[in-house]
Amino acid sequence: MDVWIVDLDGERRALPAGAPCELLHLDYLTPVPTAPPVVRGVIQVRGQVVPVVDLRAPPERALHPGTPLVLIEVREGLRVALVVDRVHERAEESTADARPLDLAAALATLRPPGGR
Amino acid sequence: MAIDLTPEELHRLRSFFVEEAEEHLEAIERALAALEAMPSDGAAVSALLRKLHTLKGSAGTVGLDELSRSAHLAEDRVAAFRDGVRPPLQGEMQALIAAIEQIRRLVGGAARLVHGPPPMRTPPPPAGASPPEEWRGSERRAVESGQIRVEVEQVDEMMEAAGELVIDRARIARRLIDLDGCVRDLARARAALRSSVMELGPDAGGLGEVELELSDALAHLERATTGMGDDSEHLARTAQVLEEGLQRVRMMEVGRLFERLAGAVKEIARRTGKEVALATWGEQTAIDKAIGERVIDPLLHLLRNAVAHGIEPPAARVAAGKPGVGRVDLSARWRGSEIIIEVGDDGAGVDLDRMRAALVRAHHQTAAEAAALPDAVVVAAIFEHGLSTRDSADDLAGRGVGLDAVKETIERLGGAITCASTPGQGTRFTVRLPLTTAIIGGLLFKVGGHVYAVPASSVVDTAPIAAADFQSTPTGERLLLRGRALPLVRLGALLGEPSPPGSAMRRAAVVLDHEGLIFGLTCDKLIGPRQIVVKGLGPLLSSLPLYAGATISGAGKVQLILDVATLADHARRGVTLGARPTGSVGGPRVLLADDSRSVRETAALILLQAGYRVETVPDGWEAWELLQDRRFDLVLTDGEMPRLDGYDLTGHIRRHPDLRDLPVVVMTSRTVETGRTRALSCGADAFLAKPLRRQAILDAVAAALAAGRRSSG
Repeated sequence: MDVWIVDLDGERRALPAGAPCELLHLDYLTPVPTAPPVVRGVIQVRGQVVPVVDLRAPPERALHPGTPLVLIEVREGLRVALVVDRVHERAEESTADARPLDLAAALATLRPPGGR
Repeated sequence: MAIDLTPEELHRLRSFFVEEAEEHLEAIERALAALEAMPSDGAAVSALLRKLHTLKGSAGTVGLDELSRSAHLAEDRVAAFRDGVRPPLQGEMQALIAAIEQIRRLVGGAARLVHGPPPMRTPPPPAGASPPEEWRGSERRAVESGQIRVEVEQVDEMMEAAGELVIDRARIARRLIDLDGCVRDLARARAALRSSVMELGPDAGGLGEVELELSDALAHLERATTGMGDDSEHLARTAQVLEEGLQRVRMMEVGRLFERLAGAVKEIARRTGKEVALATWGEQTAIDKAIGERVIDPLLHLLRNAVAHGIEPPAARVAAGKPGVGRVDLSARWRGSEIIIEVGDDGAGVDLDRMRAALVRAHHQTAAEAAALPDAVVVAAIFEHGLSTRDSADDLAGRGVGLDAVKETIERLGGAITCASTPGQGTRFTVRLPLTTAIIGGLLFKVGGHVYAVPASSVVDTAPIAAADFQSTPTGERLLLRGRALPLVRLGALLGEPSPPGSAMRRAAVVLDHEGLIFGLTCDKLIGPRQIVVKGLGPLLSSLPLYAGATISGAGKVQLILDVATLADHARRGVTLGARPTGSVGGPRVLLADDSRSVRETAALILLQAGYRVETVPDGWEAWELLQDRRFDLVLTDGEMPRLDGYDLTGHIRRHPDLRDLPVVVMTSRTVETGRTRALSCGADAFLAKPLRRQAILDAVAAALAAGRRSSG
């Protein structure tokens, strides 16, 4: 099974096994005011709008053009572009030392900010 | 004869009715066949009853009273064995078939009235040609009148392709701009080469020939680029024709449905002795034809309920302190991937006691349980099967053919329905239907450097505004426009975007109409109307109330579409809540202007890596425009650029009251001495010689920023 290994906040993390992934580089980010803070904005991927999710610890770092993103289909109908520090060569790496990243669970806790 | 309708109105309504009746007849015949095959088929009995009921109501509405009576009779025949909870007897079945035959004759008669005599039978197809599998009457008629039937899926595919074409065209236009930049870069390089050749004279050797070849190639490239520009324009026009044509094929304005429904409301009010004023909004909202035709029945049912059961008789209303004339409203609007249609009345509201009693009667609940249920749950039970609070079999809404059927129809269309009710104040049904076509007219504008859109159908006016146009009132800020004081939404504050500096800046207002509420929306700059392809924001963000969707610009940037209903809520409340400030917290903001793409990208990368925030533009004019919209800490500009060069840009900045202290660094490839002299004489803080070196850029920018801070205190 294909497993993607990425660096996130200096740590090796394994992306969900079997989830279709694709490496992208940030071009233009559209901020989405009122969105939860981990959603840094949206980008377009082949004509569709995809949220850019940044799970790195605060303080928020500036996102430059060229920042690596992994496009992941978390579940049917939900695709996100995850901000990562770098992506490892899949073929050569062992997954043993990479902590699994439960993206679905991380996204499930997202709620639009309350009190509006 | 229906009263209060002109002959023209009646004729139009009847032609709609005939279309509708033919579909109902098909469904009735299918149900009848199912019932014949299996006499205990309860679903067929319900379907039959429902369709006959609808047909009866619709026929009555357009004054086809004989047809209405026949449908009533057929309905009675079905009800006889439905109420007996047994399969139909043979005699009952025969009587029903005869009654339906009578309905068919009457519908045929109505069709002749509307369309003229029916066409003769189509001759059999020539030998060898295979006839279409289903060659039904309506299709035959359509072919002979010069119309064709097209599968909805096919139109959808074409619409999608047309949508992509819009995006592709815009992308080509964008690439052409880049290509123009390349041509200019090359021309400049060739000029430099030529002057070198001149200086070198005989020492130039083969360089002279290289220069000539370059000249030829450049001329060729210029011709090709110009030709491509013309082609792109042509493509844009064709794409627009295609797109609009397809839109017309697939979509209709909801106003067409509303016309039919308005006639029905008048008629129902007359029959029930109610006084009702109907208000409609959003007639221009486009709806898929296929969905529009199917949603008519459920809406008619909701309106009948509103008039017959919601609105009280005039005397009761006056006694309750309400105006004698009841109010029913019908509105449509678009939000994201949905059309929202609302039917509201200011009548008595859902009778919660009767609803609770009905829940107990239906054995769902004990009396104590029903009493403990929250009101909202009791109201929601109105859609449950077999739960009818009225027992009378009047011909407007009775016989238990109720809101469960409405809900079922709407859910079959992929939609949803909800009900909200306040005792004594009224009831509101909200129907959500999927939007299948995705090109709308939008008005685009900028706030805080980002482009946003609103549906053009909600825009009533746009105007430039100045500080003097705002007025503070106890209930919030107002915008004075053409003699009116409008509620106001300051979009910059709502979106958490910093406003551009200074009150002298050009600003603009968009005036919107949401269900009769006229309000103003401030923005930094209007861009203009565009046909936009609507995309959803996806499950993660679709719950944000502020957005109705997004669209993608020609340059591939996502632009957010604002939800007019949410903006109207903010305008109504008279307060604009500050949102979380967006954008990365980061270093100073640099505006970088250079007509060479490679210089732009190199310098931007160097600055970004050093922690600056950078916005790039290809010439001085765009830089000047952007300076009106957004606050920057420093301008880094090329000296020689088309439209407005860097020296004139610097001069403009120095003469502007709000911008004159802005640090400016000018880059140039001219000889060091002339470049420096010219840059400094027009007011630049520093000068950089090209080719650029990383450290030189960073030093010059840092020094200019430091000096700027000192001078402005």
